[in-house]
Amino acid sequence: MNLRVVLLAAALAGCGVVIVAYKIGALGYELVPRTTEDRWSVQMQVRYRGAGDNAVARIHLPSDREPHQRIYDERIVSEGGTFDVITQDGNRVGVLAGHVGAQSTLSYRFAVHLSAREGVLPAEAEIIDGDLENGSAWLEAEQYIQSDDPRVASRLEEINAPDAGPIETVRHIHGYVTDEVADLDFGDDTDALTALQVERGGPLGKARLAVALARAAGIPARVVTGIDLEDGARSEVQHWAEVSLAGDWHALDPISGYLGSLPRQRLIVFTGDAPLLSTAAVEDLSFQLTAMKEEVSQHRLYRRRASDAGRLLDRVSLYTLPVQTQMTLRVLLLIPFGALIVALFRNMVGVPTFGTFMPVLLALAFIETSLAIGVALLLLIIGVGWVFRRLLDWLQLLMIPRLSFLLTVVILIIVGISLLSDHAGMTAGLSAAAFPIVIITATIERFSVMIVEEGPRNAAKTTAGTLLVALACYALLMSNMLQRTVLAFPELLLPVLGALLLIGRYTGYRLSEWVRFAAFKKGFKEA
Amino acid sequence: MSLWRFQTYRRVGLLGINRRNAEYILGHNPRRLFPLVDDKLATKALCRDHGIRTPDLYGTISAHHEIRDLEKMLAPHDSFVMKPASGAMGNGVLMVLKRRGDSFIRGSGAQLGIRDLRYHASSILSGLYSLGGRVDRALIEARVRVHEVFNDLGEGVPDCRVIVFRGVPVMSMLRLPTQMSDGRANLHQGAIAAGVDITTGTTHHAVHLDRVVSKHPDTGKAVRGIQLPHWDEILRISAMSADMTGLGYLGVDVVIDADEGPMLLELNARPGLSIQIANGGGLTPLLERIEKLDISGSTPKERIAMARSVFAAHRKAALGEDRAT
Repeated sequence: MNLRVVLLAAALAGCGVVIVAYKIGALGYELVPRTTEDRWSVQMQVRYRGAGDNAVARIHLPSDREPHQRIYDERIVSEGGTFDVITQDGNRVGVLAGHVGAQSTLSYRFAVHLSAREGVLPAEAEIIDGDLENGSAWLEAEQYIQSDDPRVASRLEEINAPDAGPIETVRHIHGYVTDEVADLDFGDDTDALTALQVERGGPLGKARLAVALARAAGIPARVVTGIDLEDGARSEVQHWAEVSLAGDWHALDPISGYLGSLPRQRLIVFTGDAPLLSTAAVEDLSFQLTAMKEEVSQHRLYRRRASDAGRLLDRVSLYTLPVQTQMTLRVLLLIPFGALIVALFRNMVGVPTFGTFMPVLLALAFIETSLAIGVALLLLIIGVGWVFRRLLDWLQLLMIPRLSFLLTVVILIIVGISLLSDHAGMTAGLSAAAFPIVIITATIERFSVMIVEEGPRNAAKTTAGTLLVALACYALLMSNMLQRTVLAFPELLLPVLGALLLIGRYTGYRLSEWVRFAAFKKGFKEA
Repeated sequence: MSLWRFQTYRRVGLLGINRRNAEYILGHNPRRLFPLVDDKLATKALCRDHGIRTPDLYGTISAHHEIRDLEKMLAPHDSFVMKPASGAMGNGVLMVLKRRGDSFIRGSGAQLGIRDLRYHASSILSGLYSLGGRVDRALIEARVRVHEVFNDLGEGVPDCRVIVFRGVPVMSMLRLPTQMSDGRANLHQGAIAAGVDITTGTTHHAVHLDRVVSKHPDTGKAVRGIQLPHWDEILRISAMSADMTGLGYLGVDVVIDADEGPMLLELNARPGLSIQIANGGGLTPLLERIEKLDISGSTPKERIAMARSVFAAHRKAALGEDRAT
């Protein structure tokens, strides 16, 4: 093998290893980053275009609630508007004021430490002065919490014993709203009275109903809004109720069924019956919420930066990027590893595939769709597409219009799958749109030409090869551990470059040639 | 089951695809020369300038509107071949043996109408058979008449592939179509490959679907010991092809017309490796010997002489090794 190539590859790999070693040794990174159970990086992003003179977006921001919830490393980037944090009804509110026609963006990032809330309801409690002080305002009826309505009072009588103490009353209210009132997934702006009448409601509606019933019973209560943090872009806004007993607020969550405590991953944002985000005179509003479990190395980096001891390599760390970008990079950084797998399979094993990077793209799609469903959908799309391609043969179309026709058919198939699976109540098929449509179209064309020219066996072999390599890439891209490791050590791409150089100059046999030249297994044939 | 087999391959000197690509194609075939062999019309023009015969060109179709004139173009000819100018592996080659009324009879016996021919031409132009799907041209040329030596050796036209390295012919094989290969000379599709002794031009070894055979599966005629006619001319065409293209590692496909003799069919800058199976021997030892030769200023004739001596020396060494083990 070419010495220059070997030296270059060794130099690349060496650089990568040295940087990794330095980060582990001197900066305290962990080679296999452990995630902390209770530390999160969260990002809220609001974006809008001003539609009037007083364009404004108000978003509630979380605050410390010692000892369960501690916010640190807050960073706010706002563009195209003025940004202020004000205190309103005891909550922190970010106010982003924009201009007519201008795009305004707010990116609010913070890290949060959540510890377990092992609260239980007190065994015995009367409503004491503290509660009333806490809650002088938390006993009144509100627009959507009609605690003074006689129907609320009569329902309270039905579900509660006449001589019940406050604790028992809270338990009865919790049991009734949690179990007897059905969950609604959408249209969550139900008020307490409606939820009571139809005995159905979303998280907000059920929380309002619980609050209304508690207030009707003379127990101070309020709606609380927060977020169930989940790694990725799937964090959900939650609403529940809090009741004040013996001078302390206690959670009553009619959705998850918690009473006195809360799910561990829940971030409390604000109290009171108000929306998380409210706007006036805006259009094209978008709101995104992303959360990521923090890693130990990342936490150390934050601490160093807080003490101003950051080193150069800390400053170029990917952990300092917006959470959403980090999520994207986690997958993006693994694509070169996928390409390395393709190179290994094609040049050293000799597995045939459709298109060079088709397997990597398929693996990316499988991440969206989940594996079994992804493979099934793919085979379905290619199968149906192939039937259409055969039918097109009769019409003898020119190639570009034919491919475009096929492309349209593929999109129709995907639309069809989405519709069918939605009607069947399956969410699985909805992800079919994640497939690289253009590449699948080209594959169908290639597949059908291959069947004609090289026989169905070769076409099947290439399809199997493509799937095999895609599965290998999928296994790699899905590895949470590898994702975290490469995010912490992006310099690991240098050894990948080195490996690609070596494969690029590998002149040995391919594993497939073991079979291809089987005629020679006994050696030279005498001429 | 072990990877020891690779050691045997190495001892025989089998050339693997990675080494062929890295050392011989990347090392000896400059990319800028590829258009000369990837486009059959360019190859044909080059041959004309160098006095190498190719099948008569009846016409070319370069744009879709010219397809309307296809019928007129074909009118004087009863038999012809339509193929893409930059096809690979024999894809998209359509051979018409004769006409019957308004229809055309293919080599396989299938009947085609003018509509089918037009569609085929249009597919070719759209790039269906070309490398990378690029827009292509269709050419229509004379059908080669099978030489009597190949009587009873299957349907279709056998062709002779010669690998040429640095202008020196290295290894050769004869590809015989079978019923299974549908008249095509593609080994994967079941054509027979017979190794040709580079010094004498006789077939010495043959494989069908990777199995050693001595008879044609369709006709039972012996496939070993066939003496190719005009062997010296085939070697001359091969050695000259290297000069006229400048390619260092080249596959030369020659057909032998019953009346006109050897004609160059096409050139290949990435010739396949199955020729080693057909010959029962590896390319590497021969290529390594040729690598050491001083070929500067040599004529095709001198290089053919070199080819014979290289092969003789190699055979002697191989025999010696066999005796030693």
